[in-house]
Amino acid sequence: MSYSNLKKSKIEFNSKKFPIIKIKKERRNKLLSIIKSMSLRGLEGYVVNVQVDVSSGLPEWEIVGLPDTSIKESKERVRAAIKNSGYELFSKRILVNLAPADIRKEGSYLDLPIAIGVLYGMEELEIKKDLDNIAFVGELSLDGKINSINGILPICIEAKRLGINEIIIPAGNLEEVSLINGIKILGADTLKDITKFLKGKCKLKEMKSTWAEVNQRQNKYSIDFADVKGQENVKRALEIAAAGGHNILLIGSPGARKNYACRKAKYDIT
Amino acid sequence: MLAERLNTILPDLNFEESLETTKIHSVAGKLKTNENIIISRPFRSPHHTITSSALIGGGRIPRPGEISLAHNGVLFLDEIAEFDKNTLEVLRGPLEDKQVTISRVGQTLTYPCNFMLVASMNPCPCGYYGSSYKKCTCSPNDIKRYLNKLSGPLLDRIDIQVEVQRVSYDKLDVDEPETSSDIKERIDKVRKIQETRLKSENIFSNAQMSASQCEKYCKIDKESKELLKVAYQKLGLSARAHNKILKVARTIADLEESKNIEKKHIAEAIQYRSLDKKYNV
Amino acid sequence: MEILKSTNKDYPSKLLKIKDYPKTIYVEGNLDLFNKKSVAIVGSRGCSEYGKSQAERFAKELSKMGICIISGLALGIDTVAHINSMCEEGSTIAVIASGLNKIFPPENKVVAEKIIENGGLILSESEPDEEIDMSRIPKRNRIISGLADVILVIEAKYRSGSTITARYGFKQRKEVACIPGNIDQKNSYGTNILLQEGANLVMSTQDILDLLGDEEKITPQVEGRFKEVYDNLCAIPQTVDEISKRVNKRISEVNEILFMLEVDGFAESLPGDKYIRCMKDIY
Repeated sequence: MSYSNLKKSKIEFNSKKFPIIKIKKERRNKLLSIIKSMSLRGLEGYVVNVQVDVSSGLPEWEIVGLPDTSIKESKERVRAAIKNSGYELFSKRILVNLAPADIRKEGSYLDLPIAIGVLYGMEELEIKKDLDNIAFVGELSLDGKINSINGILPICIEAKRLGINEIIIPAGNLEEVSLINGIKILGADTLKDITKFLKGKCKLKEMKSTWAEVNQRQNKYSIDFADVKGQENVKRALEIAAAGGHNILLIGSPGARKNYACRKAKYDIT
Repeated sequence: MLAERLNTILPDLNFEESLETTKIHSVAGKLKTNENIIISRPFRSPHHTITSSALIGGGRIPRPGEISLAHNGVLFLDEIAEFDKNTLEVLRGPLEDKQVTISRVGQTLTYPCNFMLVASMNPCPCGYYGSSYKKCTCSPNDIKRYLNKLSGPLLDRIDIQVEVQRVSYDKLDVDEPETSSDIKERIDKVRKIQETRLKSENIFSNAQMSASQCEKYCKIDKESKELLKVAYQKLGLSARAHNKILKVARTIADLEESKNIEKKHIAEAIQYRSLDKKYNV
Repeated sequence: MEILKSTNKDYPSKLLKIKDYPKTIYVEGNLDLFNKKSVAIVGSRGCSEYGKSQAERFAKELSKMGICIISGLALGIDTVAHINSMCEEGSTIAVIASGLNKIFPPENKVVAEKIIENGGLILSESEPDEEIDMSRIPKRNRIISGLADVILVIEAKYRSGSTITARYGFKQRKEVACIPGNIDQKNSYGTNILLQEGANLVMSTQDILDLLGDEEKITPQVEGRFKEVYDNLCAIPQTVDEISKRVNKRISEVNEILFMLEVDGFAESLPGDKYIRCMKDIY
């Protein structure tokens, strides 16, 4: 439908019965929105550009760019999440492309960027940030919450390497990446939080810690060699193995290694 | 279990190692909640029914397997003789290369897997061969067949073999044993010695030495050579044991902060070849 | 080759003591061996693995102690005994029935050459070029028993050359020793009968040394540093842990010492990481 047609339709629908879709002249070519996101290939993250094109036509939603099943399903999640976050999805033709289109993508990392892209394309979002420098990763649940995902650490490391300024991830994953410096990592709980953030109305969570701090905080081991009484010969062998990084094979009859007796004795005495 | 405690005496992970390990666990979704980064060495002990793709990694889009999850840590194979033989054979390459490359139609991925292999097994099918508590009911043939489940190439990659005996109850409360931190202190020191020695070779532990590096760094005097020769003849050591004995002897010498490998170090190292010595595998 | 008449001063004095000593013997090799303490190791030609390994063990251990091993250069036990007694300390004497130039059995010609090379001796009462005469073989056995101080029969069938040698030994009032064998085995029947008739049952080298009337017992030459661990070993298997606790030494040290003891033949390791004192030294 061309612009002139749209103008006509504006006249046609200009009655109190129907809501008016106002499309400003300068926005009309921005129906295509491009959102940066990341995905994983093995242990390495890579950038995925989520391109969402919203156009009028028969209501349809298609995802292209070698998505696998988990991504094809994501449109159902995204639809529900958007609806349950208080936005309305108009009957439009939505086309999502995941670039680069020659790599098979999997996982639910792209739910969030698709949702943002669709909202932006629908002009439901008013964005005061520079989208080129923000990446979004996260899985949506039907009520609009953002679920934690696997592999956020390599993703953030790669994002930092590529010079992306900000990355928005599920709040549940913040702890995992709290040691990474040089990139602003923000955690969001719900889709609504993000839209508010993009409007500049609220701030998102951040978390930072240092290596020394982590090393101190975590209690490393609850077991100790001193628990094992006797078996000096094996202990010595294990010590040598640990010292030189040697692989080791323990041969023994049942009940030898299990040191059940040792534990029991420990409790008996104390 | 004794093996479980091995982790407590291994040197601490440094930041890079820690990050690498966390990456793998992150991708596999094995991070615990509220765990930001893995600072203790991983200890993986898969059950012996594990399939080969679960062990080295796999799936349509390959995920890291147990060996990669044990990266920078310990892979403990309990009852190694019960594992499927083919499953164990896939370990050969990764044990050597310290990484595993998995190819699927979609993509080819490489995961690191620098782990220490700790395995345990019974000496025979009934489990009581050589035990002083119960009589073994296996025939020599049974024992041989059982031990043959470990293939030569795999045994080739295991430097130390040691027999574990059950401790009788009355011997348990004799004296206070060393704590992990005592032992760890020594090990940290030894690791440093190895690092400085092997820096130019781009490896960091004695176990990683190749045959030629072994020749270069594990020189022994004539007396020790003589001893090795006698040991071969008298104890029927297999030829493949040679480099392993040298490497282990190197570590023992390092533990004593001795610059050269001495006769006594070789002697102790040979003691850790139980399978070669007594079972003639 | 030398020809020794019974009047010759080099003629072995031990041989003169027997009733029908040969008037002339033909020898090749080291004549000093006649004055050494000697043990004859004899056994059947078609020996079992058990016999072979025992012959090997006794020949090796005895010759290491400087004892001369005498045998008949036949196949089987004899050959094993000859080959394993050629070492730095000891040597071997082969008594053959044929002439020295016509070694019988021909397969063992190489062994004969080796014996002479290694400072051993070959002896015969036949003319050098005389062919083998089977009827002479039993007679030859009287020389074997005559030269030896102790006759050790490893394996023998009921009526065999080895039992003949042993019977000559009885007649010549020598010590006859036998290794016990399985009573079902043909190869052990002869030795078991000899035992019944009053031969000495031997299980270790020490038993033979006792028969030789060696005053000085061979106390095992354990190095001073290893002594403490060695003294704590016994016939009951002990784990390394237990031993280290007894001698109050570090595991690493005990392990090293145990290995050295094992190499020197003073200790034996058993499956289950246990150690015992080696059998030969218990008695």
